[in-house]
Amino acid sequence: MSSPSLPALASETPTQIFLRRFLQNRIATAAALVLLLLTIVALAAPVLSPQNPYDLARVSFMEAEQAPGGVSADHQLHFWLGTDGAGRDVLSAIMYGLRISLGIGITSALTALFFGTCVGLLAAYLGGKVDAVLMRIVDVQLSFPSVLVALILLAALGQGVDKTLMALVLVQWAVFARNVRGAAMVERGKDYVEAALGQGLPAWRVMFKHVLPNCMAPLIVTTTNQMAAAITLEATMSFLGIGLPQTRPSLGLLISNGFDYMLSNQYWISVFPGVALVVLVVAISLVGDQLRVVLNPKLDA
Amino acid sequence: MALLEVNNLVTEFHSRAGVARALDHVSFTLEAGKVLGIVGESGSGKSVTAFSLMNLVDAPGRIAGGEIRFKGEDLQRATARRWSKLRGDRIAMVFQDPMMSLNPVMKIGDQLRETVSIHQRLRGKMLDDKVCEALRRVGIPAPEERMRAYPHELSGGMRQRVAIANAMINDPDLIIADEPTTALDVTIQAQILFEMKNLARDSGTALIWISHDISVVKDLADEICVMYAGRIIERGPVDEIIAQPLHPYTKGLIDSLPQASSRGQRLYSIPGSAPPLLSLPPGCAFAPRCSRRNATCDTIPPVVAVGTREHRCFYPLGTL
Repeated sequence: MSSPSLPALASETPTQIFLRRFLQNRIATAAALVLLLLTIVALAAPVLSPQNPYDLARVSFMEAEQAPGGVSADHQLHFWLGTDGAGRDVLSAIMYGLRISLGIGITSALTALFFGTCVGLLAAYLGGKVDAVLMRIVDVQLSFPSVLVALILLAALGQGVDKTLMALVLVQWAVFARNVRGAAMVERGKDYVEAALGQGLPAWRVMFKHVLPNCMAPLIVTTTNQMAAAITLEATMSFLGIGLPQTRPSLGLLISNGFDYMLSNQYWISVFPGVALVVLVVAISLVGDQLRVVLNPKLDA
Repeated sequence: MALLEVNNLVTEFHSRAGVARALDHVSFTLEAGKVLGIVGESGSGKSVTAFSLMNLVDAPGRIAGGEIRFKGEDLQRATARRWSKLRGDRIAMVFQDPMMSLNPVMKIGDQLRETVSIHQRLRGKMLDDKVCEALRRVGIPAPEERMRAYPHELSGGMRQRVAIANAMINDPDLIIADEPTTALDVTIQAQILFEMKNLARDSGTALIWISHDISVVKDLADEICVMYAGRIIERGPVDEIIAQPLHPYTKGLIDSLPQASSRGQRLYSIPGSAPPLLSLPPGCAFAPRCSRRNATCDTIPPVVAVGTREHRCFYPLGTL
């Protein structure tokens, strides 16, 4: 009951520990930087891009199919990555495409995260029949190839940003539900959950305020990987011409638009958006992999 | 009226192998401000008693019968909402392992604040003061600073103090402590025991102290229940039971304590081991290990009351 001298509390905050561990891996650090750069480019596309590729007043057919390094008729603009069949600057189109691809990837992954988390927590908390039914639905959902589900859905619903988002969420919620349920089942068995219930907290509050924060590590990893998957899947749909409309060209649509020109050696219209897509997805995946390592509780000891 | 009355409480666990009756017609009463010790070996139903009283028995277990009356209220009829009001406010629990019973990703101050704010309208400075005071009361130095710590930054003893502070913060009428000192080392154990006893006495809180160690309970409790295979086999005032146990099992427990006078002698141990709950002997569960058994012991012995004491044995000690 005396108050002896105190041992100092840990000087590093959890955020500092996280950063230090994450930055230990150079490749992942580089990937995180690339991802940051691409995000900034996407966010600031209207400011950074040399041309607004969707402003019809600025785009001229006279400048169509220029090779990389070409110059516009009025000598005001360098087409560093060339122009497409309609005379749009490919670099500018990529910047705007990044915006759409990233936006769709993040939105769909977060929406799927929300629904999947609710279903997973519910299954873990209620257990028994509810759990069995919900998880069988998840099994069925995951047993279909995601491209197939998205294809059928978009064929039925038609094109559009909202419809593409719906298709992506429908494909992905099950992954989150299964992950959350697994993590929550493990946490549910721990004493602190009983202790929280024993304090008089209602069950839903225990699940969301106590169990869910303890499931965060695997969830963050899953969310990152699902973002990459969503971007890829959206690109696939758009490439096949059933995803986004021509007015909202994502990277996938840009690749698709340039595909017709490949045979006439105008590689740049398709290849550069393709490179951008690959860099984006690989960067997200590398960051996700490193998060998996850093957030693994087994490394804590 | 007693604070807590438990009558013929039955808790069962269902599995493919059969039904395990973890509590078999358990009855006891507890007066306000008193300390009840529950003693027994692993699997005797001590913890299940605690969880049943808190209505925290998880599937596949369930309370299959009996009655729990808390301040006259029949808790079997309490709704989930009513339980949320009772738990943490009127009845609180301290768990065995302080490493596990605090949320690892929540600062301890936040956990304590939550326990208060769910039951009382208290905000800001007043709330923080109450939390600080609760931590100080259980002997945590510099509580203002400790409130900002995560559980992993504290030692086991400190964490258990936090858990105790969490249980006591709303001045409950009853605290159920499920072997709260078992996971701690002996010196800390003695400290916490001593402090808990004083805290309970000062605040008039009744205490149910569960332990496998009769020597821990004997200095603390007013009355003890000895459990074996889900049944209370002996119950009564602690001094009388220690001085003169009636049930052979209780005697075995007391005899197996090391004593100064038994120095150099081999320590006594009860022969055999506790029967699995799925295959209990037909009568007295202790019979196979008992030296006093007889053919009569193949039927379940009834509860026999002797003055302030009760036991379940056909051939209690002191008789032939």
